[in-house]
Amino acid sequence: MSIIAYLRSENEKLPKELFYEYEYRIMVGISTCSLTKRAEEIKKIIEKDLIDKKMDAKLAIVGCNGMCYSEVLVEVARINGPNILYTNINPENAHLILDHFINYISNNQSLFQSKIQIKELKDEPFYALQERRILEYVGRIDPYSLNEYLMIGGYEGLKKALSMSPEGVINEVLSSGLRGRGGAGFPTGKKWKFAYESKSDQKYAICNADEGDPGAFMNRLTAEGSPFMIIEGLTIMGYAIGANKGYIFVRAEKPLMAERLETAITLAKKKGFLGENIMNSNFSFDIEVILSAGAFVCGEETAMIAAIEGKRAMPRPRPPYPASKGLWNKPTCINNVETLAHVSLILKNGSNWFSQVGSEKSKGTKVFCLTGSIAKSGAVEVPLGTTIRKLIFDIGGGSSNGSIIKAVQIGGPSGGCIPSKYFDYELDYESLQSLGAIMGSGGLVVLTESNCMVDVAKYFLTFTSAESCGKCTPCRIGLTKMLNKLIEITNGKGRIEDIDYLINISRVIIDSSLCALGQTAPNPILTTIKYFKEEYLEHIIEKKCRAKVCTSLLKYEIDQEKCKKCMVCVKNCPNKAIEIEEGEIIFINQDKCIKCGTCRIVCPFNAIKVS
Amino acid sequence: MISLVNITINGKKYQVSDGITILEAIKEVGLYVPTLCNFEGLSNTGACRICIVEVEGFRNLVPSCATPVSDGMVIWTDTPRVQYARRMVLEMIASEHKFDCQNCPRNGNCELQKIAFSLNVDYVSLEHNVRNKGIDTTNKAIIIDFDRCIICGRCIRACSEIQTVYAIDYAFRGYNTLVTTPFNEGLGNSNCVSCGLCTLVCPVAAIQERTSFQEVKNDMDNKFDIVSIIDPLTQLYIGEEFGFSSGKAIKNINKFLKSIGLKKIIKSYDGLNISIIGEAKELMNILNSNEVLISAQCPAVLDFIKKFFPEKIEMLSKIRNSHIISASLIREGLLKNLKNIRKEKLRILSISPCLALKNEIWKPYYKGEILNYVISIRELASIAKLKNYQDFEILELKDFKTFPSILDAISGGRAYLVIKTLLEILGKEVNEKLLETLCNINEVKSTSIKINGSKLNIMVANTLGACRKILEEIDNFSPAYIELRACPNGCIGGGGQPIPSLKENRKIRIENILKLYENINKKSIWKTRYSKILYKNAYEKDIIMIKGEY
Repeated sequence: MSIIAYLRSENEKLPKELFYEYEYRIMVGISTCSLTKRAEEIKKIIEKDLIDKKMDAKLAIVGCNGMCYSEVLVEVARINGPNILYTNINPENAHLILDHFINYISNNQSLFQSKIQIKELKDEPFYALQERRILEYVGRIDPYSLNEYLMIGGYEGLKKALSMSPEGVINEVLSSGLRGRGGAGFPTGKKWKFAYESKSDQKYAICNADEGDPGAFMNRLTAEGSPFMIIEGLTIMGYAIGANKGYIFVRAEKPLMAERLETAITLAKKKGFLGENIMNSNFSFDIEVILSAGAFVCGEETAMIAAIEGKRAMPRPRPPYPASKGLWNKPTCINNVETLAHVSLILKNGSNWFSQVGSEKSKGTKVFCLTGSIAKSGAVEVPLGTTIRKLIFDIGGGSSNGSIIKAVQIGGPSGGCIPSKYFDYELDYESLQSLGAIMGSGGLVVLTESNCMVDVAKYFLTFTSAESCGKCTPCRIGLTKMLNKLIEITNGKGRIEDIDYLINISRVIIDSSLCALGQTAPNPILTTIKYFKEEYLEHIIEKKCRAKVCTSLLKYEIDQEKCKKCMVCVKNCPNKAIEIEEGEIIFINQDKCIKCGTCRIVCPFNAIKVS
Repeated sequence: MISLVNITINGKKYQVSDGITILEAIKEVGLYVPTLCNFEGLSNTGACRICIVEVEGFRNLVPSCATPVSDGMVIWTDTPRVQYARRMVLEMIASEHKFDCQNCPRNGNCELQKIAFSLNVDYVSLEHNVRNKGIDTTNKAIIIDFDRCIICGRCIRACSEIQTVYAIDYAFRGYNTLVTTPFNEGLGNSNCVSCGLCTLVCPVAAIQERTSFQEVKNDMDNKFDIVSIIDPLTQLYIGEEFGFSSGKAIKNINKFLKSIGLKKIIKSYDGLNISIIGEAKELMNILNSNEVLISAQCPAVLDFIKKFFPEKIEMLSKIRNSHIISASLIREGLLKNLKNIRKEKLRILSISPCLALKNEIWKPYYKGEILNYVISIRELASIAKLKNYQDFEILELKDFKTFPSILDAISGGRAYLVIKTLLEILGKEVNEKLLETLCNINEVKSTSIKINGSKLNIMVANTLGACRKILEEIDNFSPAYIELRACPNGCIGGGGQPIPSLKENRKIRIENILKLYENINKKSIWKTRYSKILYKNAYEKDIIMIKGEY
């Protein structure tokens, strides 16, 4: 893929301070995702290039701005403009960047026309249609530099908060209308108020950065790109509820996120933004990063608390709520990464600013992660109330392989499948609930005609049944019973009454499970049955999978008219299932065929039929 | 003052005290909801979801055991929605449970069966699927049958909350969740001290005692002489397994024992008496020092100290377990009616309420050579049930002949007897008030007495959680005599006792023992000539103290 260089517009100019005493600022996006695309190597190439060219430049490591579909990202800015974002960089073409930039300045870009396409960033809908607030500087500032965070107005929020009373801070958050971005959408201010009103000698503020949904990575992206914003938000929460100890619960599988948060904590402590007597306010607050063993159930507050206490991550019945009895039985308030990032901005810019965008009951912006069969996958920040259509077609660019998008799975494994006829619904907490899905963390998996909805339901149930903590009966056993049934259906052994069985058992699991994991895990099954019942019926009655995903229902055959007897399939079949009859007819022995599809891929004449 | 709240259950209005759970309120007003993971004395985890009820204004059904009542709450215990969900949850549990009821010691006394009956679940619509995780047989006293386990977590809470042993917990996730020891390495390789409280709280027979009668039978077939030492509690409580109330004993226990091939039977009093005199003499030696003597009679406590307080081992009494002493008396030919036994063909069986003893007899200082097997009262009852033995007759308590050492069965009883014996050896009399102070239902009891002008503290604790507290502060008590019991209220709440062994059962059992003791004319062990001589003989044969180290 060739490099696309996006020219940033005038109003996206970086603050002058970010150039330090240099003329240029070069920002290499290094985060967990770009590391897999050799971003470290790219950084070294540019570093060398800078020396070779004797450029007066500040080279900064930054996070990822969310354009996952065109990693690796490198941005080059000159203090008096221009500012160009280069995408699709790899170690082979990285040396072109600086040359191009210099030539661009001197109006001599024709040299690169074949290799580098230049566009205006405001014409790129993926970027232009976003309302970037918490992501504004993610991908442009150095996550290891407290100074850079301060240069973009960081810690203004905390400063303001400390000049207010704790009640004042809580009221500010309350009136902003911010709701928890981690799943259920509980009003953040209300949650703080409960914790504030609990009387205790010790309280705890916790940031849940465990992010376990398949297809959701906004928390990692935000924390890797702007860790101080999270720490600032958590500190404000601590001040508001009266806690002097905070924890950030990070998945051990995300070591870079943990490292950046830990570095940020150390730096914030050194500069007096954490520790004793923060900014001479008499408020003291300390934060510790806890590495989690990685359990989806830790999205449930009480399970996460158990895990921090060193116990097995299992939820307990509520009440008592963590606000009165949480970590070590002390009042505890828990918010996720994205919520706390919003908190920093609400305190900085005011609650009115926050609630300017959003829908009636869901204010502000939300980061969604677009994954699945979508042309432009990545993380985007849009106001709540944006339609699904705008998200996946206008911003995401539609399906990745040209096939028709039939549904999106929103809210991860606890969410639901929303069919295309509802794509004009505005995305907020209430509308999603009315459709049988949940906001969850905001993962959005795009499903096309080439996805089998029964298989999708099976996939998510495999995940939730394996992640069930095993404590309560409906979740532990019920989900497995459902999974077994779905496996039977996708194997062609389903019966017509299985659909009612799935619905009935789902209702009981939702109605009687202990925590939100069980209460929401049947959603993908219920919504796929509701909106795509015909696919279930096809699997059960006709033993057919229209998306050709459920391998047990497929039959591979050779179209004798097209077959040129080149023998490529015979050589490549891993189970030697393709045999030659005496009359030199090649056929697939159905008893041996393991339905891997290799023959179909290797056949140069398209002679393998699937039915 | 307790404040009251107004609630409505199934359409009727009630006033109940604030702060109690919905389940407690339901019970208080005389209604019923089935429960499974809920158990007296343990925290409520709301795990099984059998006790779910509908509360108006709540989106989902709530577990009545773990939800507190609040003013104005409207509760429905039996709506179609509740019935449907409860039945489905029970079916889920049943569909994973190994239904080998015909081989199960809890058949007929099984909580899962009872709930299934009460909910009219006569067939399970969900497919039956046993996980085939097998049985943990690494411990000589207790086994875990993972396929019977319904993962209610009662044993986990009993082990951690009451006993503070933490030998078992949940392991693995989702459908593969097991109740097992750390790293699934087996009870025998864990912190387990074999107290057996888990077997008493298990609603099915997933965690249960390891039976030993088959070994006894094999030896019988190989023409060994089996001598049985029977704990008097057997006769007192085995009837509970057959529906007799705790207030009655069984008349003809020997007839039953003979019917299963156990010909030679002695009571365990002799060993008990010697162990009491032995401890009294040990105590006499430390009277004027600043030392602490911990009775080592409870094998689970012994294990507990070895595993959790190894630095306190030196405080342990060196007197052998009373059943071991009884067995030694038999082996040395010191008992009148057992003079002519073939030593080389002798095997000794003990019938007792203790599960930990099954482990204790194999310790290096006994090597399984003195006492050969232990079966519990509950196992004996299972044998009777399997044989369909029907000839048990009731014996009124007043006709039950017993000896003072029966008092050893309750927590505090041993301490009382040891102090009484010590004083009698010294030519003094015990203050009868001490009985009241030490022998009651409390978990921890403490007092002190003055002997020849010097003070001796007496500390008594039952359940290992209470024992732990004493052991943590033991150095502050010296000089002291300390009696620790692993099981709730002592051996009357032993791991091998009939099920249920709830607080109310134990209360009656304590009252029985105290009544029996009260009715005994000669209450002194030391002043009985027979005991004195037996002690002297045993002392000469050197069968009172353990050989080697703990």
